[in-house]
Amino acid sequence: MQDEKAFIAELLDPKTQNAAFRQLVSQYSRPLYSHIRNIVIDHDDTDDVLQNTFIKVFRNLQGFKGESKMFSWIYRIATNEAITFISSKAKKNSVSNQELQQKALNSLQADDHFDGDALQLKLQQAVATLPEKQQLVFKMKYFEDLKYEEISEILGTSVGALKASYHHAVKKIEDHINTH
Amino acid sequence: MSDFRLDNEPKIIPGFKAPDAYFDRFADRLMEQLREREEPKVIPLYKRRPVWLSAAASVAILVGAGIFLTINNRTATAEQPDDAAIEHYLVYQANINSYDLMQNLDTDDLAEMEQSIVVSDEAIEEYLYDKTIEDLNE
Repeated sequence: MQDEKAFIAELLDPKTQNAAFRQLVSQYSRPLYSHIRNIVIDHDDTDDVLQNTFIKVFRNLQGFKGESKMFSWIYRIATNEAITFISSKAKKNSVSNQELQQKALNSLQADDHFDGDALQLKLQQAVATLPEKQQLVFKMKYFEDLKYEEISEILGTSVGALKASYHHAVKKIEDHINTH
Repeated sequence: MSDFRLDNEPKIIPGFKAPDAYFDRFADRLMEQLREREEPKVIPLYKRRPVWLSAAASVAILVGAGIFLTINNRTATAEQPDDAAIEHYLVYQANINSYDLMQNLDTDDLAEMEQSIVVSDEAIEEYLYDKTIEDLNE
């Protein structure tokens, strides 16, 4: 926590801001890329959302009060940006979020930036049948290996509810794969 | 074949990959974006016009156009009464006698009236039947 306070101070000091922000980008760009890509699927869309996330982080540094960990705060921004992006794109195309995701998954096999096998693709398709919040929980727990306490801080949901949501998600995914 | 169980399988990764050198270039691209978005726009002084001047000019044009259109439409055109109104006036309100009518009707008017007024023999008989000899002598 003391290290984080010192780091935040560097981010807010105009003299050290650029170097500190580059360090932040270096630290978070890969895990945030994975997090965002799990939601929006397409690489180019992920690139847009990732940039918007860091721009938002930069602009709101002054307002970050340190009540939550920087990690949770940044992940919360990234999650909201990704979901907003999906919703906005779905609205422009007059489809639902789920339909948009399905469309992205249908073209995944031909995507240069996907080198998954048949089982990986099947798993993605099974996950896409889950409700939006349940998808998030599953992806953050299974694909990103985040702890329930970390997911709880990011999504604002209790650990108990998250555990229940994850176990229901796993059951539905298994049923889907076994019947398709 | 046994059913698929997620816990029984080795960890399945999403399969997504980023282009080569994507992360190496990402920070530079992002800092460039931030510089472009955060730099204040420079507005050359010589192009600056006070907003109040443009607003005043717009109002003057609108008021002028309004005055011009109002003047053009002001010539009041008196409503001409229709034929029914003229007829009603002549019959019930005008102080015109038969002599006045005769003075103002020429032979063409009379010929036109004779054609338009169609009196049937039945109408004449009915009139005579209703009138007594004394009335006709009046």
